Amino acid sequence: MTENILEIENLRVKIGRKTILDDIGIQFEKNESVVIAGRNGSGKSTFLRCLANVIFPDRGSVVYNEGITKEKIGFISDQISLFENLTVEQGIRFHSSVFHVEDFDYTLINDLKFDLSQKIKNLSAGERTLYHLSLLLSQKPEILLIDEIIHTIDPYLREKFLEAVIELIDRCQTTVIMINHTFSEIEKIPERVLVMEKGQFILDEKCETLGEKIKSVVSEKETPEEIPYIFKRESSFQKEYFIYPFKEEFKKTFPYEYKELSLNDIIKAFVGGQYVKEGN
Amino acid sequence: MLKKEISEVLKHTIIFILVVLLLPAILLVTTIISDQSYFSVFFPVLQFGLFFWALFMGVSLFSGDRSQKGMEYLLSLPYSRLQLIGIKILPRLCAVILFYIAFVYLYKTGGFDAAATTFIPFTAIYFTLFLLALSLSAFSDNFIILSVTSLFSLFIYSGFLYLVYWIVLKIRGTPLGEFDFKELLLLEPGLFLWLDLPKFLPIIAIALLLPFLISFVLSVKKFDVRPSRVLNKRFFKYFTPIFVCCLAISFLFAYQGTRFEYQEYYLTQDKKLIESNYYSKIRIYDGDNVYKTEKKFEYFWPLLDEDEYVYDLWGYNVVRLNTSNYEVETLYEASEKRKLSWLRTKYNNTIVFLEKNEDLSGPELVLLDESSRKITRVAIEYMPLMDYFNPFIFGTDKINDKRYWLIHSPLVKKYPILRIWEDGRTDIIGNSQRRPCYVNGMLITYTEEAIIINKETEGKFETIREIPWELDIAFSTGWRRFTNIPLKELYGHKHNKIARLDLETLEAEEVGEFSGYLLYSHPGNYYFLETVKPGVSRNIHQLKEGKMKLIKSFPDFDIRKGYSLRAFKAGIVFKKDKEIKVYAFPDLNELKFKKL
Repeated sequence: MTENILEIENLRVKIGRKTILDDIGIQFEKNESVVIAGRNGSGKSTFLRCLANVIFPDRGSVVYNEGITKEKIGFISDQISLFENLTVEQGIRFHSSVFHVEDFDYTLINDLKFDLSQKIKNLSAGERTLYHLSLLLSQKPEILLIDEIIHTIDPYLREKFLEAVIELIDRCQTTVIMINHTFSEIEKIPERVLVMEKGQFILDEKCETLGEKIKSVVSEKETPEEIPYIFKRESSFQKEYFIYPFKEEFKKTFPYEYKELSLNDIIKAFVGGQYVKEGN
Repeated sequence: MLKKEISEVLKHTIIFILVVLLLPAILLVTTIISDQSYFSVFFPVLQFGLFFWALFMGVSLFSGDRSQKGMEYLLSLPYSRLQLIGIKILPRLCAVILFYIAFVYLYKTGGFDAAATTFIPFTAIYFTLFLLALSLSAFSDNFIILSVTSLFSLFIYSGFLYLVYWIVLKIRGTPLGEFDFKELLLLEPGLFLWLDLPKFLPIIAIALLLPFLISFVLSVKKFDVRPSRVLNKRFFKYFTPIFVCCLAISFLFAYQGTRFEYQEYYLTQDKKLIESNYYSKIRIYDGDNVYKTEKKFEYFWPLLDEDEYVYDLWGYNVVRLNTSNYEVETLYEASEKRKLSWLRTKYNNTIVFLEKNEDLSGPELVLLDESSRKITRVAIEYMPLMDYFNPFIFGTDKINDKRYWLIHSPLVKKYPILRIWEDGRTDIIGNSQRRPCYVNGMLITYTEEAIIINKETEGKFETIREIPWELDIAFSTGWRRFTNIPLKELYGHKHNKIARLDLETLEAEEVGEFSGYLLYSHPGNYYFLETVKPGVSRNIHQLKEGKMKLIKSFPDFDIRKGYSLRAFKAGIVFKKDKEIKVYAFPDLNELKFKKL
């Protein structure tokens, strides 16, 4: 059994009267790669910030495995936060000194042909993302936390980014926890999917088993009540039901044509279902 | 991380220095300010610039990171919050201190004359502003709001400081007196403010600052990127109870402090102990009882007692305390403008002193009859007296039923001794480089080489004896009074020897080693407090007829630490910290005052 690298218990974060994270309890394993999805404002970024020590929870605990120090945690926020007034070179030196990086790997920097003397604030969003990633990769983190940043990068750099992440997972057995909405390009990465809604995880499944647990059915009529669905998409001539949790016996009892879903569709179904719930 | 912070502070420092150096030049060149030297414009600009600097160093703790959008990156670095704060505060604190040192140097080498505010208020405001701004640096993301809040907090803080002081003095029943807090707030120059600063004031100033600093440290331990109201809520959760506690502690300190501040003891001839201090009511300890007076004045500094009265002849007004019915009377209310001399003298029923006349155009002798309260003012025809520094009346006598008073001021050129007649005539009867004395009808004066003993003959003082000794000796009856009671001897010290002047043979001799202090309890009573090592005293000796006799040994006490020993005609008052012991002559048995 793989050891837990990170355990969260009863995590609660509030801002004023609004509860952002609501008594979350969850564990992450070493070398696990996790994607967190959910609606805007569901608490994903706040959750990641709690893991990165950027936000202190009002209650609960974030406990790292023994041996995991703050130097071994890498975090890129959706703000791509860095000290903008530093130059690229100064930023590298600063990061290396703080995280005790002895040999900084300039590969990614050189690939992107950065001018080391230019200020970080003059880099584009995509360049900053890759630059920040190169800083984090140099510290060889055991846990890498990535907020919603992929959408800011052009396809070429996105591919570079994802290759770097995959390499990190393979080489350093890094646990990657990433927030993302679209999965078309990252389907190779996640082993586990979490969906967050109103500060709670409403889905926590391994990718390999997720496809077995969620299926869709297209029907002109309403499906029986015995078939649970998380989301219904209606058009003028048909209804599509996203069924979760799917059971094999449904195939016998309810002879519909059950479709396999991609990860993207699964996430859309969960997110869409929440919107519908709220609308009702 | 520390290098980064130092580099940021250095950048700000360079900009600040440039502004402070250039602004006076601009003001002078553009003739906004003219007819002044660069330094006289530069120094006040520097003072106010330093206030801004202190404020900026405090509030800028996170502003640089915020402006660079680096807060999340900062907080994700492998440091605890307290480590981060420490790294950020250290270079800022060093910058504040270094500029303060530079300010002190400039102040002492000429800035004093050009200063817009004096040293103590500047120091207090400078560091308080920095610490307050620091403790509120996470209060908001907006730099202007932070600055305004910090300045506002300074006023609130000062207000509470004043409130504590004011309430305590009200409880004590004392007017605010010479130490006027407004001077600090309004930054008016008060030359000797530092001398009169109550010792408890810095303590309560720190006590009231602590809630800000402690709350900051406690709340910033969980500082994060959530809106600042989250941190502020936490800050006030700590601040409120800590502030209430510190306010209570401040009251206690101030109340206790006013009890013991500038405390003086005086033992009367009928063995009553008078206790007075700057803020509290006068207490009279009489055996097992203690009596309090209602204060009518700012400070009671008893100098002499006669019969049932104890007199304060030094203070602002002439005051006497009746030790039978414990009433305090102001015999004379002085005018600050007219004061010519701090020390007044009492001879028999007359209190005599010098003042300027009503239109401040000339000096006058003031004779206050104690019984009738009648004041006689005698215009003095000697204008140079107006320029004397604290002229001292040291003797009196009569010739053909006309009384005269002898006056000296050692800081006046040629050191003249004046004889002022009660009809206003003035003559210069001699000189003395040291304080002269008048005893047994003889005037004892000093030149650089000798002690001169003069006697009055037909209205003039003629030398009857000259004792060749180097200067550095002064025989005295004590500076608090003079007497026309015949004395047998006088004591003084010459270098490291105790010296004696026999007033019958007019011979001077060395009596013993001088390592300590001569104490004069009363004309004719001399004591010597011996020091055993620098600052530390132990033994008290009586000096009589050329002999030194040990009369009491005390546990070692250090005069430099505020311990004191005073001799009075009736006995000795020994004070060590808050411990007071009283010993009565002749045997120096301890006098017990039950409620002391």
